[in-house]
Amino acid sequence: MSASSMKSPMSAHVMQFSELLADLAVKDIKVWVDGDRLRCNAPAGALTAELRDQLQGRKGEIIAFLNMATAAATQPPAIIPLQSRGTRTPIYAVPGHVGAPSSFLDLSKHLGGDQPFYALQPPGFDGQSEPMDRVEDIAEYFARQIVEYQPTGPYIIAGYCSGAPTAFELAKILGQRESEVSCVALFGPLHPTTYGEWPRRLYFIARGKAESFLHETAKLPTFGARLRYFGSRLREHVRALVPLVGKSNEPVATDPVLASRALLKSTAIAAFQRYIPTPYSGRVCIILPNKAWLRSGAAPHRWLRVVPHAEFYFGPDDCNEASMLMEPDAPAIANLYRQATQKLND
Amino acid sequence: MNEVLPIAPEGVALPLLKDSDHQALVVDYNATAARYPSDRTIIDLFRDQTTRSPDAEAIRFGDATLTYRQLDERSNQMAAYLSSTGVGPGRIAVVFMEHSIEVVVAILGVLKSGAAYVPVDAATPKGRITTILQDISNGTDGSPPVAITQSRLRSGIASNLADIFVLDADFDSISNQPASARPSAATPDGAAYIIFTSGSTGTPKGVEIEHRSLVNYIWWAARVYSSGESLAWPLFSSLAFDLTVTTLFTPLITGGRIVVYLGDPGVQSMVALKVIDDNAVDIIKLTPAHLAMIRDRNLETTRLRKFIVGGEDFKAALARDITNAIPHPIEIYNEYGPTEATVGCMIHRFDTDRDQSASVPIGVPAANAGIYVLSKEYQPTGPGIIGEMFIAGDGLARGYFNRPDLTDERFRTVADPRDGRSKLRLYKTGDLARWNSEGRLEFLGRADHQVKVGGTRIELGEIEARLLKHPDVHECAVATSMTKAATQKTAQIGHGEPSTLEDGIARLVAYYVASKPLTVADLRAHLAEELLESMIPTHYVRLERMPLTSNGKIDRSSLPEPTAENIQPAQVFVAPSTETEKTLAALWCQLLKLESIGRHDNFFELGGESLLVVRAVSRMRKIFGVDVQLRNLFERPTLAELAEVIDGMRWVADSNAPSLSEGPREEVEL
Repeated sequence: MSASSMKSPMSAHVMQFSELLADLAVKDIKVWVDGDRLRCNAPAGALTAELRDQLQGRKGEIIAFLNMATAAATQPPAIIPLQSRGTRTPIYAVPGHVGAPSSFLDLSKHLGGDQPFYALQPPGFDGQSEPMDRVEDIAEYFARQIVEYQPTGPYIIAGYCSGAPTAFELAKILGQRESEVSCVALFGPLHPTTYGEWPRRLYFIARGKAESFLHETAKLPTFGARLRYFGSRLREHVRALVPLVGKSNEPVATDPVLASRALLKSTAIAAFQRYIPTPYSGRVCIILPNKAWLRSGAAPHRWLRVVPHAEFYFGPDDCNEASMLMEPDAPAIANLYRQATQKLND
Repeated sequence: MNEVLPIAPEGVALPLLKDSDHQALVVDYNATAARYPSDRTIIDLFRDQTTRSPDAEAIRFGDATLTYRQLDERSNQMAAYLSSTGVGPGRIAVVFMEHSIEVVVAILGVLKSGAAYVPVDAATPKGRITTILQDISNGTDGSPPVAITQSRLRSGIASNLADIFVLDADFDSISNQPASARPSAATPDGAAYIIFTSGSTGTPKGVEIEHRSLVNYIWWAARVYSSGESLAWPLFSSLAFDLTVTTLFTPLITGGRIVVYLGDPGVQSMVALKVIDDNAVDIIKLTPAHLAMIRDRNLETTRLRKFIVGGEDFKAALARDITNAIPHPIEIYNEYGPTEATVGCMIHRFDTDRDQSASVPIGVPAANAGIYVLSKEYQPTGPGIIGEMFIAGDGLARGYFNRPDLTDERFRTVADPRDGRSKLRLYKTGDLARWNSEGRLEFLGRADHQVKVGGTRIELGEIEARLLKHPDVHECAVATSMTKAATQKTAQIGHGEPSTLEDGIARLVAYYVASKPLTVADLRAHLAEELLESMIPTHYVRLERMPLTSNGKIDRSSLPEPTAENIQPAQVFVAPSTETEKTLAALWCQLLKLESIGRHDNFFELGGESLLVVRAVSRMRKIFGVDVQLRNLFERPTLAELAEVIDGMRWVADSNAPSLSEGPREEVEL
């Protein structure tokens, strides 16, 4: 398949600029920006009058290119701009424990073009660095980069699912450094005790699976259809178990991306489990997928122990935590966020 | 299964239906009660007409004709023969015949005997006929049905599956029967016909329609379409398509004439053109696709005055073209209705001046029909909210033949949306619709055309509806295309991200027929005015004409696979030029499983998501030796933009590295 098929010549502009850069590289001519000036270091005689004229004539273009390149190379890697324009207080959002910044894409779109939205990429997500095993360290990592990117507040710090404790800690760190955090918005947050207490963890996982099953079967009209669905789910589980219990002589191919993702996930869960939240006096809005989530085992009410003034908002009854930030629930959740933060933006 | 996913969820974001809207859209809209002869059968109405105009021409095929009296007598003979073989109330007779006078005789004969007829198109494959016959046999205690056919088609029916009657070969056995009328054994509660439609599982399902429902519809159709006139109607569309029921019975209760047309082998779909060229009818019922075929015919001298269009979304531009092509005043009706609600249950008469939207509205409910747009909780939806259409009223089918499970699934008795208290039987259409701000119902296509692409649930019908609003798009269909393997997403509680099998990348493909070449940029801009970015198709394929089923509907299974040859370029293709762009394009092609990528193609719009992003960044670092970040890809997602970043990063890195050349250097400010 082809992305496009009608071919036409590329614009002359880029060719020329590209050729110019290549020409400079071949001649070992180095060009860099010094403030608003363009400086050049070249082997004696390499910078001919013709070349000098050409560089001076395209000075603005070269400065813009070098500034872009410098910014691209030096900006904080954790800050992923999903929507960098807008006049509202910027949101910095911590994803769940898989760490995918793209999990906020739909929500960001539904918050509109005036809402700057930055997803935070945890260390270890891109397989280049090692994941961190303490929530406090991850939060500190984010705090440094946020301040580097946007030196002064106000900020809105958001967290989704098991990213909530990191967001919470991040807000505390920023607050301790006297940066203004207008609000902490936690979307479907898991309290650390969800995974820290085994009975709760088992209940949470079992309930989640049962809810998912019931959600699907509710859509089926007859007992027979439900039975068939149950059978298919059972077969899926059995198929998933076969490789675990069976012996295979096949060498297991290790995909480095999947391996680093698995490492990130296990490290993030370990960090999440051992984190103990401490009191926070700032504004916290807890946005739950639905009211039933209060009894999900995610223990959202336990946040009240450290934030007794936290505000709760609930999404539609059929909204699922695992997909609450995605279509088609994203508009309703974006609406809840707007309600929660309306006072800030008024 | 065609279960509808929650289109109109409960939640804070949804406006509630105001009392005034409820009164207008739910109560007043469905105030359709009208008198009709509910205690009579279609046969009774035909006999009444025969009494009124016995010598009028009832049916014509070429030079052969029958008057009403002759048609009545022939069908009496047919009924007498069938009764003598045990066919009667509760039995089913399959009619597997070509278009002819005899097929109408056979259908009337079956109905007079009290049995129900099952029309099977002459072009039906043997395997499907076998399935239908077995289904009937299974649903009637194992007794094989009667199958009425013609010599030429005889071999299409397995002898052990039906009691076969070859009408043309065994005609003597009919002509010896008494031609006089005997009381019809049909009753208003008895089944009149069973039409087998395609099931979502691939198994045909039989929709069982009772006489009362048929009479309700035909009585209404006669009033609306014939309006007291005796019109000539062409019988040319498939008898197995319920659209043809209108043409079969409406003339016979209004003193009109059926003019029979037989399609040429292999070009059955062209028979509509034959009807136009023959110029022997006043009114025609057809699909939009068939109407589009006749648009280019010379219609200046046509005697056609009335068009009834049904079966699919009807574009206003097509209605306007037809109106302009015919010098005399014409009436164009858009009739909506599933087989399960007896042919048609909504009607709109096209008005060139008033109907300025892209599609001709589906209008208002027919007599004794109720139309409701409901959420999955069976609550009426407010303006702007997509819901599923439900139908109530006297036209509702008895159910699906021998399929109680499916009948229970699709025909539901719930609280009456009008008062919320009494019970009402509803047919769940699987069609999506919404009320617009002007209080008109907008048809949005099938709910089972809902797909999930990139984690987003998408209504293909909504995209098609918007695409059809483009002034130059005549027909369209939107489908999904998968690369290599299927994409599977499983969201799990407690996980922030669904897992994805990357080998299959789902993309939306828009197929369209247009009057002139359109650029993808134009189409995308048009769609983007109303649709979310995730709903904008990735690929666009312009077709000469849409592939059609034998019923004249768009045949989605025959839409071509998108290929390098037929996909329209997303924008004017600009080939990668610099070395960095070429290398990057090769990498993206490999990851995204594409053959070529242009400078302005966007990684995410081409299907880049989730792990693919990480893989791309990881590979770019290795290939280019610079520290590309995810952020760079999100910020500059097109090939040219990212290549420029990479070039810049390499340039900055080189500038910071010690010089390779020896000898004196000079430093200057430029």
